[in-house]
Amino acid sequence: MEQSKKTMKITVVRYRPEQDDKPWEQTFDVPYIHETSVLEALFYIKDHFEPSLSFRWSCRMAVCGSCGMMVNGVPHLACKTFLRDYEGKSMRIAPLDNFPIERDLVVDISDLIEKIERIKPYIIPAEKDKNMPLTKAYRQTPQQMEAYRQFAQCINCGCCYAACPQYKLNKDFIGPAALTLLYRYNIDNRDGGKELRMPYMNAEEGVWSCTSVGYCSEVCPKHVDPSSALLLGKKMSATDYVFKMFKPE
Amino acid sequence: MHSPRSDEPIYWLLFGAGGLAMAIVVPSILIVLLAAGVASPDVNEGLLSFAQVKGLLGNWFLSLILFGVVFLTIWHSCHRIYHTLHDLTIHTTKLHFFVFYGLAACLSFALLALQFLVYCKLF
Repeated sequence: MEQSKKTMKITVVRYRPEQDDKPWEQTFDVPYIHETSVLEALFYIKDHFEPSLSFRWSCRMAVCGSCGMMVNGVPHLACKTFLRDYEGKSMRIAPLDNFPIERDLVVDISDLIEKIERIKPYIIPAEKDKNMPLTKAYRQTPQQMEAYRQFAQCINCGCCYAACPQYKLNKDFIGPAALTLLYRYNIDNRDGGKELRMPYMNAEEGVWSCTSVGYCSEVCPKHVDPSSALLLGKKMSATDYVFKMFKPE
Repeated sequence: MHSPRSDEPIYWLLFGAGGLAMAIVVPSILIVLLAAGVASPDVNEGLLSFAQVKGLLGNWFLSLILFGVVFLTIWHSCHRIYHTLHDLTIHTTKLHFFVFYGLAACLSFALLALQFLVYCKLF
């Protein structure tokens, strides 16, 4: 990074499990230019001041979803957040809320991963498509894709889980990202696995634990809008409820 | 393996229908009543006179609509208060559930009884 006159006071939350009883804070003066992202500021700190600082990153371009962290108390992707937007202010970088801290800015997201796996986030062929050739079975028009495209942009960064007040109170809640993916596969015209996924959506810890606060949609770096997916999910679950009332399995 | 299905859809659908009633139907009724009151303010002879209102209530279809709107409004309000408790950091239990939806059920029966009594008294 090029040296410049501008510097920013950046406080980073540290936690080294083998040494520290609880998280503590360390402050650095980091020089920055117009293009400096929070992730680059962390590289600078690691290279110049504190080689032991741990944080997750991979693609540096908001595709991999590794660098979710709290910037001044708001969930952000470090690579997509720029120091210039905090000019004249100080910055506090902390690990994502609502997840256990593993080390420094690295959190344990196994709960998120388990929930995403649980809701079967893949296309399950319908009975009628089982023996069809691949070229015939999975045709999709642009309109049919448009129905779920927005919900398919999720990169599993966990920002919505850090934002969700319901997940904070109740870790059984399947949560914004996983329920959005569930809805996304349910409305995919190539999919035949809706009945296998509905029990997760219909449960108390499914869509019904959401109280439509909407902060997940506000912080989502990919504009997935989980809040609307969950509201549409409630509609789907309620319709399913009424149908099953008259036609029990 | 799966958690049991939540019964929330019943209350959520009533809540949604009640929201629609409160947002669209109730204001429309109020505007119509206001317009009628402004246009003919005389309570003895005008549009809002006893005879007029009695005529309206005597129509079974209008009575049914009135019951539907107030019934949904009651369930909407109780659901809203019940879920707002959570935001006020009051942890809701089965007791709160029975108190609020019980209240909604009682008010619904009271509404039915009131409409029935009014009908018996007038006709």
